[in-house]
Amino acid sequence: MKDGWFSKRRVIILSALLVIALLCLAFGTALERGGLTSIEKMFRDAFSPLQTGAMVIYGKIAAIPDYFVSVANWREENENLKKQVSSLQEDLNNLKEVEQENIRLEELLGAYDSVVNEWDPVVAKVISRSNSIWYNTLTIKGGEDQGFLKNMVVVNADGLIGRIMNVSKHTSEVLLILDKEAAVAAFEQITRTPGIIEGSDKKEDMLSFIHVPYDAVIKENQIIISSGLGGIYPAGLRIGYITDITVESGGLMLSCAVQPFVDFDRLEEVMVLKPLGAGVNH
Amino acid sequence: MKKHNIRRWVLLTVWFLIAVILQHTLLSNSNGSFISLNLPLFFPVFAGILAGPTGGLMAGIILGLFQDILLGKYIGLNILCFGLTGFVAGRLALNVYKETYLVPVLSMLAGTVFYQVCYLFGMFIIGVGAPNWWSWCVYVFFMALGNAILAPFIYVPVYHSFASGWLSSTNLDGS
Repeated sequence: MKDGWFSKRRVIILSALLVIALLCLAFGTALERGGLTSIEKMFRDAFSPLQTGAMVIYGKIAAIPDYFVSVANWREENENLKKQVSSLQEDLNNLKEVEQENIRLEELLGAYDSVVNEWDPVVAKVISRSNSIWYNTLTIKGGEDQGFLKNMVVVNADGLIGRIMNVSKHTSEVLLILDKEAAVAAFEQITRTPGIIEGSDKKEDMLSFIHVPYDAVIKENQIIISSGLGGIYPAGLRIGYITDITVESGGLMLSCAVQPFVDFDRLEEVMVLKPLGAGVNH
Repeated sequence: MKKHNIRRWVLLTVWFLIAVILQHTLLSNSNGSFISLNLPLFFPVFAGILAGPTGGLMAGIILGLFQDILLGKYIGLNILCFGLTGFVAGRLALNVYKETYLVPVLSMLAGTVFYQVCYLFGMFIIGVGAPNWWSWCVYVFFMALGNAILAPFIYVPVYHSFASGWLSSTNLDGS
């Protein structure tokens, strides 16, 4: 080992021999062998638990991307479910609306059982309400197609609303009793004191019961109903109740402020009273 | 055997086992990814850099033997290739300032290519058919790239441990 040249040459020769030996070994093991040597078996057996453990860990790690993919799927599913919930919520709201509408319609029909023999009540939806200071009208769905005609009376469960003023193919314009032009012949329910109902000059949503005889025995809270005189409105339709009584300017007549039973700001469905046999009814 | 020597050998064995196990489990199952790694190769290359050519050679031979026995085929080829790679890495790094980050990056880049060329050459000698050259080049390129990227992250703690930590007591070549 002290001779550097010899040592170096020996190392080179030994290395070359080692390389050749290893290549021969590799060549020999390149072909299919009869079986593993006992050393190889021992090594593999000793190594297999470590490999198994590593594969378990690998399985867990490899599952992480799947988890994120699952999360993405969950998000998508969540979005779909949210849409579904939203849709179902909408359906539920619609059902509630229908339920409420049903209740209102039952009330509406129940209130006019007595008139069914004389009239053919047709339910119509309110489309719009006019807010003009010049006239008080509302538009309902249904016109000539429903057999509606001018001057047909419109009511709801609370009482008289007005009469049809104009009719188109699919809509009708209703003149409310709040309008000054919509005079209704009426009387007080108990005493039968006659008078005229028209829109109030003082308050928009109030009525006036005018031309009441000076000696009439009337009091506040008494109910005013239609008298049937005048030929348009049938008798007995509830209109409102008296809230105030004053003497008219001439001093010969009384005038009463009347609070209508109908809430004109919350009308959704109304009923058109068609005379029996007055045309189309769907 | 001194206590710190036992600790050093235990640490080296654990590192060695982890590298081999990961290579034969996790990395052999990560097909389809472009970047591939050869974790056991870090062992002889870094041993060569830090402990000299003999250290690299010895580490390569031990690792190669282990790998060959596990593979059960072409036994001796990995001994040769890992050993040579460790030795050459040690020779080239003899006069290199080892604290720079370029050392592990370049040595793993070159070491991976050298190892793969050795392996290919060995396969030629023992008469295994030629690979698809393009696939081989792509495979070697991405493996070298992957190893080079990972190298500083392994090298820095190993270097510090070798300089003043658990691996510091004696060098692998026994100097």
